Amino acid sequence: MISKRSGQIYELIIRGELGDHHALLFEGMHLERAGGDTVLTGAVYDQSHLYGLIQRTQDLGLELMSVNQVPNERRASE
Amino acid sequence: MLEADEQQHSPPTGAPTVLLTKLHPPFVPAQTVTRQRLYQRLCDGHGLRLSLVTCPAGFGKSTLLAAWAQDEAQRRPVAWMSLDEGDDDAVVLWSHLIEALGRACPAIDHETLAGLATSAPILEVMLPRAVNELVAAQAQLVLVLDDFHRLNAGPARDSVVWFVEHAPASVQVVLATRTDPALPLSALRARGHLLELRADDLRFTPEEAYEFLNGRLDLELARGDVDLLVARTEGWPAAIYLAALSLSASHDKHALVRQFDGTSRHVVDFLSEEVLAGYGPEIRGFMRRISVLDRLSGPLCDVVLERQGSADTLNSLAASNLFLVPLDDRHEWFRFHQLFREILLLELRRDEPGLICDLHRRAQTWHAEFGTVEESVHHAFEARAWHDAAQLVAQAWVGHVNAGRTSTVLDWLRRFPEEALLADRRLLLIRAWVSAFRGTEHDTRAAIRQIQQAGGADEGPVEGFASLESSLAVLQASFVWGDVSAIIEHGTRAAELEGLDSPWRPVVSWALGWGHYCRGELDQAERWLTETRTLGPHVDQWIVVIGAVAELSMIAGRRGLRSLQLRLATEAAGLAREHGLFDAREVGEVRTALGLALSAHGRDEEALPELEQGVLLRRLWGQQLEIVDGLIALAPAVAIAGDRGRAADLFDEADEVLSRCADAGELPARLAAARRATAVGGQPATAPGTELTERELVVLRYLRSTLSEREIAQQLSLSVNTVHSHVKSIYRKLGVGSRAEAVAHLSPR
Repeated sequence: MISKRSGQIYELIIRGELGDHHALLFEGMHLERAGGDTVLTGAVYDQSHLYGLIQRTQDLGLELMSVNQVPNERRASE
Repeated sequence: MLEADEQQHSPPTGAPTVLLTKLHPPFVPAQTVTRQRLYQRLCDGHGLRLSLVTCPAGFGKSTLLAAWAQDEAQRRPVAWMSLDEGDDDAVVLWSHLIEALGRACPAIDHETLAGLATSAPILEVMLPRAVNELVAAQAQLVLVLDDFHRLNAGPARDSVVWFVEHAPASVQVVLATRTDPALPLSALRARGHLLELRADDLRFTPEEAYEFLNGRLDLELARGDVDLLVARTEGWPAAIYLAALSLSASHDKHALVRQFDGTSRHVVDFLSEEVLAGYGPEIRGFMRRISVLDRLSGPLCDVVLERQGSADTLNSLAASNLFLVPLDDRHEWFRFHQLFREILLLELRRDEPGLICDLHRRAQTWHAEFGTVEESVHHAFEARAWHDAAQLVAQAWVGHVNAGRTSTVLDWLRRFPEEALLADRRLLLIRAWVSAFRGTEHDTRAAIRQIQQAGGADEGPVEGFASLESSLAVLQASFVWGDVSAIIEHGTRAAELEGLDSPWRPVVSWALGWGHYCRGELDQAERWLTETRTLGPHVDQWIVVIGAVAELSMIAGRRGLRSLQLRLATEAAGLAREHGLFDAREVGEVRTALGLALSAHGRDEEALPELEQGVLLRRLWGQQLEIVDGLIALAPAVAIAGDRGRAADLFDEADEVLSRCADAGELPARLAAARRATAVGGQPATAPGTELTERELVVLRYLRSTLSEREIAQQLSLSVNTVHSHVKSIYRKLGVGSRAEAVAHLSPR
């Protein structure tokens, strides 16, 4: 379930599969495992929020592979 | 009184407590592999501008550097500091670094430097002196700053950048960080001035892993299994450590390695679960709950977990768990490796989220009693106990501001949710005062507006002031940014509200004294300043006492009483030195007063540096009236010393500052008089190389009269065109646009 908060939807991909409870580290983001990686999706208020999420990956020594905005069309179809 | 903690070094009131544990390299466990290839690389950094170790969490940079430091200390002294968020305050940072450097190089005057760190501008005054001391002592040492990424953009980080750029080559600066620092790395790299160790350098090689797992930990793993482990973890040290922990508790190591290799689960996820599952539920709960703490001690854990015997638990855990590290030789304090702590915190949030606030509250109480204010405040914030946090901040802020640690207080204020801040006028008041001390006019005015908008009943005494209104009046009388009438208006109101026995009364009388001085009302100024001088010492308001005595000296000077002027200036300087405030930006007027007194006695060479320092400090303090006062004193002295061009620039600067003042009293008139007086012997002050010719001087004197150019030409038997071009040339050389301005450059008849 994607959060209905206002803001841009972002997708962060982390290398390696993380257990569900890791979602606690990334409040409000949806966590999914796919193809050996972990995909976090959710609404991000602003740049400060985004950098906070990126910082969290650093704290656990996780490897951040990509950070992308999810375009509106994809959003609408989900 | 609290028991003195030997791990803290407590200098006189107000100055930051130096936590000595931060100045020790972390404990190097016996099982640590000697990574000779990396030690060699670090030694290669000797003589280079910067040695950088930059990699993500869990690569073992602290352990590597600690082990190397242990080894290198046999050849050169190593100064160490482990940074955390609290050090993102230049005063705190350098109080610690000076202590560390002093231990590594006893020849430097670290006591003076430590005093300067708290009272003088760091970048402009303390650091240049520190570098000079290091050069003079020919210091050969290593300075390691671990976890440099904890410093955000700001004065603390800038000060380190400055130091890296200016430290002598004999001081090897090593920064260990998770993110590349904001330094010109490409340039350093290109010129061969940078030593770099990055993640790929710190990965375990199969040989190193084999040495660690079998040589040090006796796990008796087959070489094939070691290779598998290294491949799966890509040599990431934290993962290998975790693997070692889970393997040591495992019955079938080979199977565990295979299982690990076969899963696509993230290494941290898989291994941490294995490791934690290997502990009994009681120990697992213990570790999980104490993860809210940064530093761990037996007594602290007992209180936070409401149990007993934690000291023993910690010690036995540390013996077997590589991630729990002692911080001192007596094993009283410990810390979890950052990564492992994150894993435990996650467990706690998953399994016992409801407990977290209580744990923080208990930690807050313990730290408040123990005297470590910063940690207590931190836990109050984590517990979302805004009232408690406000109480702690209110108790600590004055001491912090007096010790120059305004950044720390501002950070505290930022951690409150805006609603909590707006609802507590005491906090808004603190924010206004701290912003004023930092010289940020915009923020101060905004904070004052917020207080006025917050409204509500005046709840009586606050922070020693008679009332909130009184505190605002004192604030607005002391920080006026170029408006003398504001001093008088708010100061008069404050004097009505703060009685003679109020601790803030000396500040009020100083403000009014300064205000009247700026208006040229010397008798009234003298009365108020004398009150400050009398009352101030009884309530330890030394900043205003020193300022008052300095200003009384300047008044004596204005009245031509030279002996009294010098006596008072010397007294002010003596008081300033006594209280470590001789280079403090809050009392720049001491240096100006001293300079003027020396000047009055013909001691021009001694006077000039004092007047220069007075202006430097007053510029940093940021109050416009003070800056102009300082410039009016300095510019003529600079002219007398021969640099007329610079004197002209200083006068121009004073003009520019005055243009931003709403009401500067008599300062503009004093400035004009000083300008005129600086034109010595009829030759007005111009830039070097553009002196007026004899002819032009003659024409200039004629301009003083009411004669027109045609009439002047007749008087001098010259053509009108000639006179006109002389006049244009005069205007150009003097940089003026009118006859009156040109004439003002002549000394009075």
